[in-house]
Amino acid sequence: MKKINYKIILGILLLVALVGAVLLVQQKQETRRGATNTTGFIRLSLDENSTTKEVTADKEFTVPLVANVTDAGGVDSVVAYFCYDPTKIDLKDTSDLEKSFTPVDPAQYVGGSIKVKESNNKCVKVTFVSIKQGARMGARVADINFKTMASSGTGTITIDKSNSSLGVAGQDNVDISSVGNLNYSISGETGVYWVYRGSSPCQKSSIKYDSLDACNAADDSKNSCYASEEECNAVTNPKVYCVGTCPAGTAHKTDGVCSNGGTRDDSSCTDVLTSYCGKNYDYNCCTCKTTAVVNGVCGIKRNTCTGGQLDDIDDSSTQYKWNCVGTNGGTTDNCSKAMSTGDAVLDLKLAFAGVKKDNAKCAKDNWLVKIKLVNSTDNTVIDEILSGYPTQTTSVNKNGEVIYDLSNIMVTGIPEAGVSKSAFFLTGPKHVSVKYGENNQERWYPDSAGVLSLNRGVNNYDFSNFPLLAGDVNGDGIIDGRDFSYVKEKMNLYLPAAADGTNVEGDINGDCIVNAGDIGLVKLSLKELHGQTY
Amino acid sequence: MNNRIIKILIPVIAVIVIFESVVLVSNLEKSTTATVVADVTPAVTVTEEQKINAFDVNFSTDETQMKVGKKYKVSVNLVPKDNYNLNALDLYVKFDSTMVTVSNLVSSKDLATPDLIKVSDKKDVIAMNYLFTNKEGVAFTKDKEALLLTFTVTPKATGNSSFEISTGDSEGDSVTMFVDKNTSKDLFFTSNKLEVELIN
Repeated sequence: MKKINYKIILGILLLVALVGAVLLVQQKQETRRGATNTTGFIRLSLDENSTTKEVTADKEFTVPLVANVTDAGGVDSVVAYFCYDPTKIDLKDTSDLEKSFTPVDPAQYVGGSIKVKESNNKCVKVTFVSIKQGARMGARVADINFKTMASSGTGTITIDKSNSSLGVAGQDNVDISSVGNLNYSISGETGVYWVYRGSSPCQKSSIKYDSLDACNAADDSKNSCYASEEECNAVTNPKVYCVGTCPAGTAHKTDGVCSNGGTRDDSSCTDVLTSYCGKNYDYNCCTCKTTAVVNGVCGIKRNTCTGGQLDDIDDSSTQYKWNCVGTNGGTTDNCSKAMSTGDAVLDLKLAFAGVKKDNAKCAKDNWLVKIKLVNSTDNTVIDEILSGYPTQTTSVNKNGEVIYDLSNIMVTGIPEAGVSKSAFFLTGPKHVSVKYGENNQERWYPDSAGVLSLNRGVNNYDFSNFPLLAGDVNGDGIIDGRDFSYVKEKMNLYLPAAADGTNVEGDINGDCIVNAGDIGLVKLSLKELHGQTY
Repeated sequence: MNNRIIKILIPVIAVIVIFESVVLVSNLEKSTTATVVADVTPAVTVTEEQKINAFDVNFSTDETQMKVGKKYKVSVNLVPKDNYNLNALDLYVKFDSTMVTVSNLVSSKDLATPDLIKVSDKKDVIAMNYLFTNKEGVAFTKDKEALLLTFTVTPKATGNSSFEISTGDSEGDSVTMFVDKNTSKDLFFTSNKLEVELIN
């Protein structure tokens, strides 16, 4: 006996166990089959493919309640739990539930309840039971009688499957395999008028009147009723609704007050009456003059003013020229700056990866960009201590990222003949250095030598369609797992959004908060870099 | 009678099954830990401060002599010296593509899907990066060895070749690092070097 190989015994026992397990599983499945053999459905339409109903405002309409088992054998009981928006429709008679349902023989309505859920939906639980022994209900169990409110609109009557049930004699449980909701569309709003209560805008009357006269005659101080919102507002407040609000720095001619503290210059208004909303109104906008006189004053840097408004004019061969124009009668300052030998000016357009127009509140004019210029003919550095704060423009690049202007970057030491081939390396505050070797670059620059020419005077280049790669939040010159971890831990602090213009650590899309968007950007940058490196 | 036999046999077989399991599992452990451990050298030079060794990174394989044309499995394992939670893990393995072909990279089933796992076609390096997005990162338990990566090596020339954990190349790329969740800094580690003899 001892010599019997235990593996054989083990094998036999394992086989027996396996057979037993299979038998048990089969038995279990048989039991489950019995439990789920019968399935059924509840829907709010006769045809399962027709789930939309067109109805009229302030009218009654009927919705069929259809329920059955899948083998069409009928059911003995139905508990339907359905919900709807009571501001749009309601049961025909909410005080007497039974009146809102018309059971189809042999079904008999026996009870129900209505309650308003937290979502402001009203939900109704209604029960039908067949009272004829051995006779199940037909598929169309009952008609539900609804009425629409006075407003037009759309909505859905939904069946809550979890609170509904079907009963079939002899079956412990009938699974509801599907429910069919009903979408409705209400047209023909009636009886609603717009009321002026002494202050604009007009409000929709809470009471539905049979006519405009009835609305005006109502003893509730609503003495100005109109058939439409547009007409009501146009008549009662034409300055706003027919002419519109005057923009900043101007005021309405008749009674406008200058918000900037200046004086309304009525001579600046046109004499032509505006004619909107079918009537003439003398509400033109007029310029507001401020009393403060501002003289133009030149700034130290090229094309800058410390007073007045900049007017850039043509440069001469030896001087940069511009004017600072005074306002409100102020004087104009004519500005010039001699071109030094070898001076060049860079005016660049650029973008930051992931900084989109609509959310760049914390990447305004506060992100420093460093520039390194390399002469590609001999690979010498022309200048590497250049930097500037780009300013947002209203334009976006092909990715929807904000385009920034980085202008007035002065470069010295440019030979008279210029530099025919150069490359620019730009680094953002949270961005790795990106090489730009050609104007309008849209990809990683593939060659070692750049082809950007750098000449005395102004050099305009557009790099905005290849944004600076974001993610170097620890400033070590590379993007790696440490940057990812830094951003992730900042995100996990769940700090609220900072004020506009704040430099938020870890916020690389400039939306003033560190969240999944920033994590996503780091991952995107790493993927981009990995693709280039490996 | 039958019941009595079953009542006797079941405990007996149960003991045998447990015994067998222990024997099988221990045999399995022995085969996978036939590790070739060579000179363990610190991967990062200690300069300014005394750094605490957080991990040992080890290669293991069944054979140190590999025949040209045959396939051999190599594993990279991580042994934590303490409990750590990592937010990121960048692993780079240097090899000589003139001597061997590397293929069939398989990451650990215990970790999430890597953000990057490939044999570079630009550098002689295997690159595998994880960025753990879940809040607590991934926990590594003290002294509990974790398999990071397995790959297949196919020698294509005779001679000596080696596999090393890369700590950076001349361009500053391929820096292996284990980024601590608490500090967002990389943790110090040591690694061995797998040297193999490639024969016909």
